[in-house]
Amino acid sequence: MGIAIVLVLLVIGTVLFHLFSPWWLTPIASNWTTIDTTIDITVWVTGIVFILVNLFMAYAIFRYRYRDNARSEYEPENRRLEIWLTALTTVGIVAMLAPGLIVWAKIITVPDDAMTVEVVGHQWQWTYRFPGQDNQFGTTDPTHFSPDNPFGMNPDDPAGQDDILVISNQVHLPVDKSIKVILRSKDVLHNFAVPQFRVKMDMVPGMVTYFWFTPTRTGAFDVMCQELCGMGHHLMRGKVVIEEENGFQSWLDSQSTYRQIRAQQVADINTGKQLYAVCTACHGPSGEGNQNLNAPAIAGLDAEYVARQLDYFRRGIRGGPESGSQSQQMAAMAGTLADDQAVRNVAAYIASLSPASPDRTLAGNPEKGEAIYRNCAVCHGTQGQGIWTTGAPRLTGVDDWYLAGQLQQFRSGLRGRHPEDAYGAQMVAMAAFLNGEGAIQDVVAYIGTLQDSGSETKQLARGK
Amino acid sequence: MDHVAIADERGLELHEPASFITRYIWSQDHKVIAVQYGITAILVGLVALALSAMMRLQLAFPNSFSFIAPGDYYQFITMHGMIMIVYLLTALLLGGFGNYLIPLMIGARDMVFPYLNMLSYWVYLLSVIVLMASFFVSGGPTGAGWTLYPPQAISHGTPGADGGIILMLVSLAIFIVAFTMGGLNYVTTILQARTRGMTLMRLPLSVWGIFIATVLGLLAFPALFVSAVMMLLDHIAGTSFFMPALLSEGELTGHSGGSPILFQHLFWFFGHPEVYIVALPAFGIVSDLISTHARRNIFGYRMMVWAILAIGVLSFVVWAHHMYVSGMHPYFGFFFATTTLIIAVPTAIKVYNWVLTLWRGNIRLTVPMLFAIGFIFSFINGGLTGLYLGNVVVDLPLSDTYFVVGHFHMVMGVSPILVIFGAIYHWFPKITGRMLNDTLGKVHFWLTFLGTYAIYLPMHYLGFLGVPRRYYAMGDTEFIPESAQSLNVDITIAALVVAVVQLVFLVNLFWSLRYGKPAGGNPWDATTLEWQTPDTPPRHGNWGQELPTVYRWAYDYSVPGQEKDFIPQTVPPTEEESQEGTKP
Amino acid sequence: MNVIILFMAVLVAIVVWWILLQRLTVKPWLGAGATFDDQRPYSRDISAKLGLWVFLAVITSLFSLFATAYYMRMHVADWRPLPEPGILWTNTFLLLASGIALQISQMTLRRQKTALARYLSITAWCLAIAFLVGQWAAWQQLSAAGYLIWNNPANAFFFLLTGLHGIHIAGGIWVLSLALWRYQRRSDSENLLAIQLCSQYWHYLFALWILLFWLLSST
Repeated sequence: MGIAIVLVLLVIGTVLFHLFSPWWLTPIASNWTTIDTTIDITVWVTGIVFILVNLFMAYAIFRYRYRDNARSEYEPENRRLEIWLTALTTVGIVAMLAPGLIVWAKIITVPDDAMTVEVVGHQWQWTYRFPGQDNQFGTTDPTHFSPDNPFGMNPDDPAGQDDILVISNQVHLPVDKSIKVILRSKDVLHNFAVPQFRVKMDMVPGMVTYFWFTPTRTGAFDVMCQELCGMGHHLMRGKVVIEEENGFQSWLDSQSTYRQIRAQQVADINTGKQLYAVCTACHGPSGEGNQNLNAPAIAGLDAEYVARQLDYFRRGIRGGPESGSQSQQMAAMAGTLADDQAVRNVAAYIASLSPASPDRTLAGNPEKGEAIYRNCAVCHGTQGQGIWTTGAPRLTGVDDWYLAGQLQQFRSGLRGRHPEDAYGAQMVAMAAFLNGEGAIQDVVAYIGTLQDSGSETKQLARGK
Repeated sequence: MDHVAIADERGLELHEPASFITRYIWSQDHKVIAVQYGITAILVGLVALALSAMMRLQLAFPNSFSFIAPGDYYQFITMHGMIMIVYLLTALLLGGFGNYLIPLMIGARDMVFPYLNMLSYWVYLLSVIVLMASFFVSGGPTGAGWTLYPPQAISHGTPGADGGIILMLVSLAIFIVAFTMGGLNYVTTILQARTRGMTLMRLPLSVWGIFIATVLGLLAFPALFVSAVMMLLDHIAGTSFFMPALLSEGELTGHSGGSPILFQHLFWFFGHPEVYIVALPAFGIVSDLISTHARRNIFGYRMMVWAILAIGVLSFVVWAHHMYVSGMHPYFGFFFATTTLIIAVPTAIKVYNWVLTLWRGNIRLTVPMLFAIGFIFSFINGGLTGLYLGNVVVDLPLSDTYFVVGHFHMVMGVSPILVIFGAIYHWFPKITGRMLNDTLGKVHFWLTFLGTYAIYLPMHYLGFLGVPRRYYAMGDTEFIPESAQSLNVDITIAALVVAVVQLVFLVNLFWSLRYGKPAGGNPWDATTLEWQTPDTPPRHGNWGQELPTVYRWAYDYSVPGQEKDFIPQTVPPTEEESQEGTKP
Repeated sequence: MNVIILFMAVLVAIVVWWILLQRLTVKPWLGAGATFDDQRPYSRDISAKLGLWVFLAVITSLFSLFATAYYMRMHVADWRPLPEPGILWTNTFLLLASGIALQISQMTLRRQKTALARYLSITAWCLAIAFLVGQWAAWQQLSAAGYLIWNNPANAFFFLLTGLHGIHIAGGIWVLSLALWRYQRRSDSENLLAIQLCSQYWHYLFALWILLFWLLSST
């Protein structure tokens, strides 16, 4: 008896929840309104079945509840009824399937005039490539992957020279133009998904996958990886900015081609050494750092990481008005560097210095820290050596007070909140679970015990 | 090794094992093995339940608990999923209920190969121990998600990629060996050891469901075995079955040419039948619960049997609907969307027939019946959302979102679990001789049934919104509103309530074992053979000196003109029945 | 996918044929009372043989899936076929001889020549061991020639499939060992069942080996 009432209430409640739910398909931003239509048809068909069958069941339970003097009807089967029900079900199924298959045929047929963009994913970043003037992508191969060639471009392929490489998790695309998205992964499975576009596809290492769509409104949309890709899966975010053709073209023109990137001058350590003179006041003549001045040891940090941070400081991505005073100080100093080449030179010099072995200044329990550190190890390496594909710097040879301070800053919002600081956003998310001073001290203490024996050989292997 | 021969009719010495050890530990009695399977599966299921509570805590209150780091979270989801699907549901439905019910329902003294049956349990226990051991190795259990997709499962960025994944794969291989031992027994016993008069069409639907599910398992589990072995070799011996050239820790791994999609094909060739390996026994059992407690024959018995067979066959040609966005050849989408939606027809017929069994019945709302009704409601919900995901274009926006999580938890989490609870309330009196407490049972039912719906219904809507599954934290996005976070808190509260309510069930089990009302042989007035045993609980050999003879089908409830509203299968025909026909 | 689909099709055909035999269209609620006295009485031998058949179906499913994976993986460009060591032909002969010995053993046992049957089974046991040793030698030859498991998927499949087949042979040898161990304590009919089951298993594994051999050398 009670259960019959509850079933009715559940049906009513479900319908009301459906009608008044603020959580529903995001406003569509692509041409695939037909997908939404198919969903609507499915909602109607399944909704009707849900309501009818459950209400019928509730009524049956109420009507035929147990009575001592009552008897069930003995009716082994009813062919007519069963055939009717089967036929009706089949009609409902066809009503959902047929439009689905028609739409699917469209989804897998890419229009001839579609422009192409390639998305290359790796743990846990997105990068993008456009085919350039010749409208043709250069060939790639995993054997070419290196920090200088993150796309694995074949250097000898003429078709690849004018490819436009976007080493950022943001991409711009033009509105109202059919776009074929080609997908590639460098390591594990990923999935390039923008909920507002409705379509998505896995990225599979060793093969190329694709989908196509036409953006129908401008705006910035979240890219989320939707295939579990390891510990940083939830951090693999990006943005697709849909804008008018003009804006898109000027954005595209501001990006570098593969030829331009290769033409960049090789970093000059000697020039870098001269530039470094300015830094010695705080960071010390051999990059050993000075805690009294809040200047961390920087000797031997990876050149790419140092260059990226200096670039952030120069552009206000780090050290802006909302960050701490020391960062702002550093931003001012970084501003004295003339151009990208100067940044690369000084970074190369810093990388060439032999790493410091700073003293322990903080108490912490390295054993507890080890359990925490395995979350860090996926990016920073099990020995704290840093991994170029994840963009994570080496952690050994870095002052513990500096690491602890930066973790605090990530947690408190002083660092990593700038929209262009993609790696910073990941650190913000990762630092968030380090609750309390104890956890930070513990993990920093564990990092202090790591010996990065492999760092030099790794540098060699990378051809530095 | 004492065991009685199976179907010898009379004059045999029913020597029961004498010592405690041969009776309860190294037992070859199917009933003891069933209970062993059941207890182990429930214990390991409690671990998985605790893991899910941790996951819900993290999702509702992200970053509040330092003991749930991202690595932990991914390990929790992986172990929760694998334990629940394989080590709890498969083991409990087939190893537990299969073992207990098959010989009793078909009128056999035991399984055909009792020694193999005992071995099956112990090998299963070994697989559980190996799996649990992965919690204690360095790096912890694998965090690859229960689908264990390579390259991710065996590469650096995944928790437990060194020790945990190896133990997981080894444990699965061992489990498959255990399952094969058990499965050979179930199939052979059902085909060979049925008692006199027990034709296939007189079998209760529980046996049909378990039978076909076992056949599916025997054919599908090898696919998991193949993928586990090949992935182990990729990991340990450096082969490239599934591993293409790829970067790990910034360097090429030395693999080349392998196909991650090949693994997915193999995995889902197992994985989809696995859904029915869990569902079919539940379908069968719930049919018997509904029929017994509605005091009415199951409506459309023949259609029910045919539907089980059709689902069994079709379940092997729908696997790639899990792979619409995997990058496989897009033309597969047409084929698999069509087969997937076709399989909905026999499934729908089963639902209609359950409801039509209630119609014009005389429904006793006992605790098992409540669970059965709860199952129908949950299964209708989960089955209908399956039509979204089976239709390839609808799947595109919904795949890998919370819609999927909501769907499969309704259809193969909540639904089979409700059946399992109903079945335990139903057969506990036969297993122990005592009734479970009714009040505690009702508390357990209401909070579990309503609680699970409160958990999973809203999840579908998060999925429509586009909230991805397997995210440690949602972070900042443009499209997920604040309200989604408060919804997550509500879901977690419901989940914690449901988790805690299971304690009521455990208390009920222990309390009733000692203090429950004595049940008698046939407390539900049921027709099937297991309720006609000379002793309750049935003794070793089940049937005393003489095996029962079956004269009728399993659903003679409320036959017109009869005094009682049920006629056990062992009752010879009445006058008019014999006149009406010997035409079978 | 072809192989597994073929296997499944064959299996479905068997199931359908079986279903048609079972008269699943009878209306079971009619005809109460019929007890089917023509029903075959329970037989331990038939159950054991049926159990073995079901097990063979499981193994077939296992190897069909491997073969499917083999064909799918074969079409990737990095596939480099490996030479078949000549010893495989000897091994094939050994396994065949082993199966024949078991078959004759079974037939002799049926004529109650208990001792002779035992010697024949022991011969079969030795030949099967020789087969395993031969397979091991083939592995050694390949490894020595530089065909290592991680070099190429073709090599990997060779080691994997021969290894798994070998494990199944080893399992059979274990069962045959038990049967021989208990041989003199058992009655002729018990021995006959054991030898029959072993010999059926042997024939199956020989057929499987022929298919694998063909598969592995067809590239």
